[in-house]
Amino acid sequence: MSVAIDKAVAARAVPARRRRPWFLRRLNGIIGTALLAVVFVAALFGILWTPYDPVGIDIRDRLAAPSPDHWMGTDEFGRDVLSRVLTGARTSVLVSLSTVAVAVAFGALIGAVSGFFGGWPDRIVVMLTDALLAFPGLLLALSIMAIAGPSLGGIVVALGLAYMPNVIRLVRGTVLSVREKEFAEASRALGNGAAYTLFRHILPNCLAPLIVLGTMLFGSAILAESALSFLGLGIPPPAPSWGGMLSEARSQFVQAPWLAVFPGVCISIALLGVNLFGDALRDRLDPRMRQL
Amino acid sequence: MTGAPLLTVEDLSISFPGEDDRGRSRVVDRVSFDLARGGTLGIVGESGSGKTMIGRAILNLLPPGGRIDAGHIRLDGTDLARLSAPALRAIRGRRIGMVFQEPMTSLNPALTVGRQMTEGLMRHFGLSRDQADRRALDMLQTVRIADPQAALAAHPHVFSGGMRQRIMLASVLMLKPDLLIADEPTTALDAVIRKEVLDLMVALVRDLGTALMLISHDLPLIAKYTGRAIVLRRGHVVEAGPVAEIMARPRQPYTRALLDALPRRGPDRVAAPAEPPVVEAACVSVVFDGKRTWPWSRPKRVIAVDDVSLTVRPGEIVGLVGESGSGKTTLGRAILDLVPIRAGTIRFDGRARNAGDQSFRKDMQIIFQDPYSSLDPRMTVRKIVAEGLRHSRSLSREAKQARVVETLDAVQMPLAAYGKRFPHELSGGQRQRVCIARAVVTRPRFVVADEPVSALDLTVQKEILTLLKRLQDQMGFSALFIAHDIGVVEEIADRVVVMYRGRVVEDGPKAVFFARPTHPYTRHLLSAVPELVRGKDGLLTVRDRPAPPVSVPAGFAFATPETARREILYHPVQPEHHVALVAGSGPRAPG
Repeated sequence: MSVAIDKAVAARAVPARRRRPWFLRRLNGIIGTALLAVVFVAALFGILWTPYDPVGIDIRDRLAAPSPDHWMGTDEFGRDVLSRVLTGARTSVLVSLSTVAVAVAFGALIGAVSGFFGGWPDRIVVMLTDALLAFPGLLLALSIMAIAGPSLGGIVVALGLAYMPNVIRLVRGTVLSVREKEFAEASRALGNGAAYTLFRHILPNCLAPLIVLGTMLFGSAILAESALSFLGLGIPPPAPSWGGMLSEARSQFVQAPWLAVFPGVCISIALLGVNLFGDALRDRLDPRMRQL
Repeated sequence: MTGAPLLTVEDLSISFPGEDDRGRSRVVDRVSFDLARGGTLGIVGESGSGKTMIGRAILNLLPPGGRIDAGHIRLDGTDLARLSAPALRAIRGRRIGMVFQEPMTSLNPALTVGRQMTEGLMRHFGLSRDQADRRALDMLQTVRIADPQAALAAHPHVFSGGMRQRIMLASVLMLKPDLLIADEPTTALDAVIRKEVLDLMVALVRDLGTALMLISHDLPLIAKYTGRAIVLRRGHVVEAGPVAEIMARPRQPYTRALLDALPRRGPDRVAAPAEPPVVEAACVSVVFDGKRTWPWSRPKRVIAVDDVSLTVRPGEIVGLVGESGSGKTTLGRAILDLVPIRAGTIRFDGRARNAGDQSFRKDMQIIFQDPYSSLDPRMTVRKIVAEGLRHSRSLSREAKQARVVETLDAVQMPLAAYGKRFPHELSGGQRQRVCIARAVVTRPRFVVADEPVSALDLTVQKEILTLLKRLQDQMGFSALFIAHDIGVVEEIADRVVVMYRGRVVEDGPKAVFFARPTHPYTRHLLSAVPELVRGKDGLLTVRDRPAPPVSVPAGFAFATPETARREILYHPVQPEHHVALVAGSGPRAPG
């Protein structure tokens, strides 16, 4: 009864005039969206145009402080830090997006099939994901990279594998609950096959939490990629990456702090942006807040 | 009424954030009533009428956003709407107690029953834990909880809904409040348990001299348990006065509509027993595997349906009645091959229906209970209904489209107006219409309707039942109508089957069945649903159902759970009217 009333009230609470889009309705959404936009614009520059060649060495202009010529200064080989930061943004965004794509695509498929059909394959999947979840994701990626050697594709595969258990577990859990809804049963009663029911009725109703998780994974993939590159197991030099730049900056930190500050700030901006945006997204999409 | 009333509500208005010019919408508008010390008051209304908000406003427990705009709520002269928070806390529980609808969530699952019951005693009366425990023990005895000592130490999850509601009642009434507000206290319970809990509540309230404010959508229930009532519609009082008066001489069209919506005996239709049955379930058993104690141990078996036979003839509506857990829903699902059967056969049109055979799907459909979860929230009405025709390969694209249009028209949800809407944009009744459209779009020969109206308001329930009957007349399908409310079955079914703990205990054509209900369980069910009769003067009154004496053939006893191991015989009480018996002497039948 009270639920029905709340619903009636909620229905009335929907205003007639158009509201701002959800991600601009709250402060966390506004800041998160702005920071993420900065990162994506930087990545776009990294793809299309940079002021200097990010790997072009200029011995005469080594370790130059930030100036109108080099806005973020140059490193020990005279390479322009701004260009390298922009290209690093490109690398970070591409690697993280691909990682999330790999983790979500395979994880969702495995989790959905496992949860929907159950039985012994499901039990094996659960055991494997539990085992993988017992390792910190970064450690897992680190060991895979150590075996495979540093490369761009390697990072994507390693991080994708490391994040997949989270996706599997989330999708499997959601499928288990949606599967019991009567509309899933109605689909069976209409004579629809299992695959149709799963992909047409059940998976679309698991999207909301999956999108939220994907956003969060995107953030942690940026951090993980930086950490791997910092340890020398990520993007092979001389290609620029934020983590790699931080690592190279260690020895000159006192003489040339700009070498560490700019990539460090970039990582912080990206992570803060993703997390704030993800919070706003969760407020909006969290199934517990939503009335089906 | 003698002396000043206990509670006076004057011109109460409540609003929520909304869309009128000041950005608020009124859910309760200038409502006034009063309640004498020890008196009873019923508040009747459908969902959205604001009845729950009135109850909550009295305790200042409005949900976020809610606000009392105007009016006074006086308890013995003190205006509650203008009281400070600490002063209000002293009144909540101590002077005004409240029982909520949902017994499953109104007790805290993390605390023992004893701790929750004694909380209020220790807070308001400063009793020690021992004293409080003793009082709680007494009270649990009063509400007839078996083994109260153990109940005190137990957590809420071990109790059934009815038991939890008794515990709630006990812990609220233990503080001897002046006023008890019961907001749909039994709506979530089965009819039989509903009666027990309400009888108990009213008796206790009378003994303690507590005034009772009973909030419900159920007019006969209000009529039975309260003296005066107000009828609410969209926040306005449309009628007020003694309940008997309201029932007998409703002045407002809305009250009349509410009364007309009450289920009552539908006409008897002539069945055609000569025709072969459409659906024939013979000796069907369904067994579920329960939890295992250890990974290697055998799972506990739960027998949901135990050796049940049932036939549905062409054009007939069979009503299947039973409490929750009786296996009625499982039987309906088993006939449609949505749950596997362990034993027995199901024949459709004389052909055996094997598990996994999809060729029957088009001819057998189902309508679900919960209109909120039975429609895919991400599909539009048109897609939901059209999906039913996916497997009708013989139909052309145009024919399918025409069929969807025709079916949506038949359920009064025209495609042009509703086709593009999503389920969350529809009301409960409209969703149920879409569910019905999805079920009949293939023009099935047989439909299982699983409690299709129990989640709906009374007037909407009436509309849906009328619609179902009309569609059944037009399309000529047979139906198995599953319900826990025997009143609804009485209205729509041609034949009644009663299930209890997985077995059929009685079945028969409607006319003879209701004339001579025989099995003790059937009579128990019927006693919980008072009959609505129109007297000689044309006035509606509620009366208990007549129960003519019954006898059992010598050497037999009624089949009850206690006789579960013995073989059941179906004894013909009257032509086509059977009751379950066992050989030998049984325990004395209850009721």
